[in-house]
Amino acid sequence: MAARLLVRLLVHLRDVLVAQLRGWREGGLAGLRRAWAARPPKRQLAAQGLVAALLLLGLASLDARGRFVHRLPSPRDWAALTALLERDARPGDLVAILPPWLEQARQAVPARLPVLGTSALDTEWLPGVRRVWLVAATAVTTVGAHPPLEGRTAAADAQQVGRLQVTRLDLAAPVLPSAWLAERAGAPTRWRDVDGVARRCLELSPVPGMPARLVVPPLALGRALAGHVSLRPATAAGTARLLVRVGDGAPLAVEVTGRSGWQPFRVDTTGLAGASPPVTLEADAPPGAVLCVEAVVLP
Amino acid sequence: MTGRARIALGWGTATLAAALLLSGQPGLSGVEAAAMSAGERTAGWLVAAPRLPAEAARGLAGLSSERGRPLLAEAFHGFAGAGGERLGLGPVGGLRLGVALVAGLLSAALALGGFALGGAPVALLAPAAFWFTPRTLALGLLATPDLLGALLWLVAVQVFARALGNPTPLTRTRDGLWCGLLCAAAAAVRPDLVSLWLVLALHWGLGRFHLRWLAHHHRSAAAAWSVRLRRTPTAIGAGLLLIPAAVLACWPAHWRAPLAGLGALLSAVGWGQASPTVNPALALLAALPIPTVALLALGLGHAALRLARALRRHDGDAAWLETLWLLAGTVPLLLAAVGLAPRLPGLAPLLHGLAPLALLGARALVALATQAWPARRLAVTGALGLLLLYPGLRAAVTTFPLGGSAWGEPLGGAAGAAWRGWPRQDGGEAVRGLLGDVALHAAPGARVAWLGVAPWAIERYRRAGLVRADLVDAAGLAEADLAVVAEGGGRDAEYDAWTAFGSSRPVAGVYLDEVALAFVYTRPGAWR
Repeated sequence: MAARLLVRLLVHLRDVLVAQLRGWREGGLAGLRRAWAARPPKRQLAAQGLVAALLLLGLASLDARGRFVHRLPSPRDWAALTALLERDARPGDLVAILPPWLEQARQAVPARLPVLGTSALDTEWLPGVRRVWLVAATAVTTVGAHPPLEGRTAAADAQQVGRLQVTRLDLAAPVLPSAWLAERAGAPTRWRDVDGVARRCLELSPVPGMPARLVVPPLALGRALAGHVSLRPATAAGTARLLVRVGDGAPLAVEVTGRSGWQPFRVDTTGLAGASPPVTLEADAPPGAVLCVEAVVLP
Repeated sequence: MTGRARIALGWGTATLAAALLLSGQPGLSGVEAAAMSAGERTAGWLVAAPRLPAEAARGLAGLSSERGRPLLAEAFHGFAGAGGERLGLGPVGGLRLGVALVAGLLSAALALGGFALGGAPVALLAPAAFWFTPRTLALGLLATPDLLGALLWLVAVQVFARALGNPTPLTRTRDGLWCGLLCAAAAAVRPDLVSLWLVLALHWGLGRFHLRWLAHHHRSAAAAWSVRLRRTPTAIGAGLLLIPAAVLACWPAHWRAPLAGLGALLSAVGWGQASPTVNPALALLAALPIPTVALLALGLGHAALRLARALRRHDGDAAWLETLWLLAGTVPLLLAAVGLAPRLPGLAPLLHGLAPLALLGARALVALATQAWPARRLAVTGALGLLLLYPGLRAAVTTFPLGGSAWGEPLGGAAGAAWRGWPRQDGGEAVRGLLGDVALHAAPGARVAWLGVAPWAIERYRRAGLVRADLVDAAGLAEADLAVVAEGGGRDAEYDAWTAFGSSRPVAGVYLDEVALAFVYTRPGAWR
C-alpha cells in the first residue's frame, strides 16, 4: 500500500515537473519570439555591435598597457641582477641582453663585465668568453623554441630574478684566442655600430689608390688566424677587399660589401703552428668607406 | 554667454593653463632649438628694423636662407618667447608661451568646430580626441611651427565652411577673404600648408563635377547651394593672390628674385627630398594609441557614409560639408604618403590633418551612441568617450614628459619601435631628464661633451639653471670628463664615448618602457 502510494506520488511529481519544464520552455520561446519580433532595426543592431566592439577595444588597450608595464623589470630586479653578477661573475664572463633594447642592463651590470646586445646570439662566435650570462625579460620577448647557444653549452643554470630570467651558459668549447692582432700591432680599436651590434673594431681606412696596411709584429701562430670583417658605412657602394697575408704564403682575400654584415674569415695556419711569421692585413675599399676588422690567433 | 562659447572658452582656458603649467618640463628637441634660435634672431632683427632697415633686411634674408623657409612662425615664437621670459615663465617654459597660446586657441577652435558639426557633446569630445595622446600632447608643448600650422589649417577650413554656408553674397565674400588670409598665413608658417589651397580648390572642383552630374541626371535637384558653386569661391581667388604674397613677404631671402624662390618653396614642401625613414602614414597608425586610431578611422568612415548618403539623396549642402572635412583630414595624409611633406620627426608632418580627423571622430562617436541607444545616448557617448580616450590620456600622463618618444600598442610601444630601429626621440630632448643627475653627481668643474643635443638647447638649460654653472662644455670627447648622449638614429657617437672613456657602462640613463633614450658616461673620478 505504502509502495503504491509512493509510486503514485512520484508519478504525480514527475507530471508536475514535466508540465513545469514545458511551461518554462514555451514561456522562454514565446519570450524569444517577442524579443525577435521587437528586435531593433538592423542599423541599430550594427551600431550596438560596433559600440560593444569599441568598448572592448578600449578595455583591451587599457589592459594591454597595464600588463606590459607590469611585465617590465623593476628597479629591485635590476639591483638584484647587480648583486648576483657582483657575486658570481668571473673573468671571461659576458652578459648578453635579450631583447637587445633592454639597455638598462648596461647600467646594472658591473663595469668589469662586457655586455652584448644582439637578437642573434647563436651566430656570435664569442672569442675570449667562457660563460655567458643571458639576461632576458622573458615577459616582453620570445626567447625562441630552442634556448640560445643550444649545442654550444656544457651546462646551463637558469634562475628568475624578479621579472628577469638570468641564465648562466657555460660554453662547452670556448674560443680562447692566444693573441688579438690589434693588441699585438699596438693599433687602437674603436667601438662601432655593425649591423645594430656594438663591435670593437680595428679600423682600416684606405684612401683611393693607396690600400691601408697593418703589419703585425711576428707572433706565435696556432692552428688558425680567424676573425670578422665589415664594411662601414653599410650604405657604402661597391666592394671592399681585405687581404690577410701570413708570412710568405698566398694571401687570403675576403670580399666585403655594405650588405655583407659581420663577415667571418679564417686562415688555416696548422702548417705554421709554433712559427712566428709576420702577419699583414691589407684593405682596399671604396672612397669614404672603412673596414672594421676583428682578428685573433687561435691556439 | 551661450553654451557654445562656454565650452570653447572652457576648453581653451583649460588647455592654456595646462600648457603653461607643463611647458617647462619637456626637453628641447633639435627641431625646436633650431626654430627658437631662429625665432630669437628674427625677433631681434624685426625690432632693429626701424633703426637699421638695410641690416635687418640682410639679416632676415640670411636667416630665411639658412632656414630654407618663411619666417612667420619663427617671428611669432620669437616674440612670444621673449614675452614669456619677461613674464617670469623661465628660460625654457617662457619660450613656449606662444605655443601655449596656440594650444588654447586650437582647443577652442576644435570645440567651436565640434559644436557646429554636432552640438555640445561633439564640442566637449573633439579637443579631448585631439589632445589625449602622448604624441599630440608633446607636440602641443613644443615651440615649433607645427601646432600653429594646425590651428590655421583648422580655422581656415571652418571659415571656408561658414563662407559656403552663408546666405548672403556679402558675408560669403567677407568670410572668403578671411579664409584666403588664413591660407596665406598657414603657408607662411609652414610652406607645405599651401596644400590648404589645394583642399579648397579640390573641394570646389568636386562640387562643380557633382553639379554637372546632377544637371545631366536630376535636373530638378539643383538647389540654392548650386548657385554658390557656379562662381569661384572668394577664398580660392584670395588665396591665389595672398598666399604667394605672404610667403614672399615672410621669406626675405627671395625678395630680390621671387621666381627663384619657387624651387625653394617646392623643396620646403618636400618635393625632391629623400624618402623619409618612417612612412608618415604608417607613423600615424603606429604612433597613436589604438583606441585613438580606431576613433579617427570611425570618424573617417562615418563622414564617408554621410557623404554617400548625401549624394544618394542629392543633398548638396551635406555633401559639400562632408567633402570639405574629409579632404581637410585626408589630404595631409595622402600628401605625406607620396612624399610631399616636410621631413620632420614623429607626427609633426601630419599634425594639421589630425585636427579635422579628431572633429570627425568625436562626431562619429556621438552619432554611433545615438544610433545604438537613442534613449541613453549621452550615457553611451560618455562610456565610449571614456574607454576610447582614457587609454590615450593615461599613456600621455605616464609617458610625460617623454611623449615624443611614445609609440602605440600596434607597434608594441617604445620597445616595439626600438626593435625596428625607429628613432627613439625627435632630437635630444630626453637629455633634459638627466640634467638633475648631472648637476648632483658631476665632479666640480667637469668638462661635459653633449652628443646629439643642440647647442642652443644646452645654452637654454644653462640659462634656466638646469646645468650647474661650474660645468664646462667640452669641445670633444678627447677632452671631456663626462658625456651626455642622446640616443638618436646612429649610435656611433655613443660608441665613441665608450672608446674615449674605456667603458660601455653608463652611470645614469633615461628610459621609457626600459628603452634607453639618453645616457651619461664618465671617466673614472668624474662622477661622485
